Amino acid sequence: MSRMKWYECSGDQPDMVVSSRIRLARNLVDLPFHDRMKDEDAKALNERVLQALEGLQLGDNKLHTLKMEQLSPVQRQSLAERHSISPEFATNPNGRMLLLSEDESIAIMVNEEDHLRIQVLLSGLQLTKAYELCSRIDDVLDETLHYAFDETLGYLTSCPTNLGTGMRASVMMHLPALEQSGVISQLSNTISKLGLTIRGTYGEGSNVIGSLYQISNQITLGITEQDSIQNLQGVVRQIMESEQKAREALLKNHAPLEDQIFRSFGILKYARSLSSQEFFEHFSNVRLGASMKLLPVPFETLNGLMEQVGAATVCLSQPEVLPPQARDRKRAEIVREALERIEA
Amino acid sequence: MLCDRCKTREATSLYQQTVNGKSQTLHLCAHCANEMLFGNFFSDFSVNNLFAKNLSAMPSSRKVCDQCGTSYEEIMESGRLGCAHCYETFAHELARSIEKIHGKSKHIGKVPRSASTTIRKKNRLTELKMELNRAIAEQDFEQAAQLRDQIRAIEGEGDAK
Ligand SMILES: [Zn+2]
Ligand SMILES: [Zn+2]
Repeated sequence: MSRMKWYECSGDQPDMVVSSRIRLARNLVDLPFHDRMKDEDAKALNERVLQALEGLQLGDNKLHTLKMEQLSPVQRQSLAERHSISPEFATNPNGRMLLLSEDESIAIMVNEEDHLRIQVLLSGLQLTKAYELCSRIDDVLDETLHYAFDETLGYLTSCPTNLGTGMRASVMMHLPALEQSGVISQLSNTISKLGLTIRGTYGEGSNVIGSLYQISNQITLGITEQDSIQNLQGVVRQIMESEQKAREALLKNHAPLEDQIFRSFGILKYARSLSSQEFFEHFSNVRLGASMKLLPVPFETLNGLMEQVGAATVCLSQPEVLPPQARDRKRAEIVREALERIEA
Repeated sequence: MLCDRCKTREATSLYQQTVNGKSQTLHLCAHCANEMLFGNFFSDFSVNNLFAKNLSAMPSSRKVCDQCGTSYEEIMESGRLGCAHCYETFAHELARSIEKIHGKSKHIGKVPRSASTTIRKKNRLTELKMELNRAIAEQDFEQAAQLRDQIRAIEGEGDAK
């Protein structure tokens, strides 16, 4: 039996927090940064990282080595959709390598904008646990590779915006009620004053795709990793409280909300064709329904679905890339299968 | 209309992206729309342009890093440095924008073990050299000879590595 993926495991506060992520940017002291590296430098770095990782004990959560240029564009795109690599890493595969753990929670990009980007992604609110694991991997790598570090500037990164801890901590939240009450932009002003940032992507309508927002730290110099995480966690908890209040307010107008949630469930459960946009619109309603205990859909199933519906990911099991209409049909099939045994 | 992102394919959808309350409208092709949808997850790390915007032209900008050959103009252009040594070469030019971005200028977070050994070694060397000066001033030559050996031993360790 293969190990459960990170998104199939449960985390804290799953009703509002989808995932927690820590990323560290690191560079080796004896190689130029990415922009100035020659092909043989990049190759040597890959080899040295593989050697250094021999000292890492992860139990049965094995690391798989993926040479990016050996993967098809669809496979690379799918890795980007599932958050294991950056889109840029997928588009320019030459000389680049990804180390991905069996459960996909650990992803180490080698030869990104920095020599190393070490990422740990866990479901729900688990920033501290994610940091501890990330930091342990970081220590093992440093032992043999030796990082570029300066007492004053901290970890030396290719771009000075990441100097200091080189750490980005982020939390993906589902905030449908706050979004509907129109307070997100107000919220983002407050958040940016605290050295944090909130991001959402807008679709064709006026709503953020899936009402999913990412909150992350902006500042990395002059702050400890622990304080960064505490700050972020504090803000996340405040947002959760506001979202909770906003959800209670929504519930006062119970009937139309309930109707919306059950309609969306019906569409996801029975539709024969689903565009990405449409999927996320109904997904958000169903997720809200699950939080309000109106629908018996486990969060693990919902989180898993998000990882499976990307345009490239739905084509993975196919011999070739599907045209858009066929993709939408395939997506609907995946969603239907996931919800098959769940009865509202 | 061509896609705002790749500028090669035909734009098929209209996208609005909001970062910290500021909205931006983009006309995108299907490929870029898809990348934006999922790629946004990663954008928190790539705020380099913000850094480049913060850099101002310097009269001393003829300077080039002697380790990697990167010039200050190139850093201004890309927002990225060529190597760790660039931070020393352009320390003066970069200091203000680093502080502007972070609000602080001194790292207080984690120290990698490899560097902590070096830092500890550096501190020990400073200590020994001060003792050596004192010993010489006090004309305690036996002590001075001993200290010199210790200093040489520590400095030698670094070369062997
Ligand atoms: Zn495009
Ligand atoms: Zn340089």
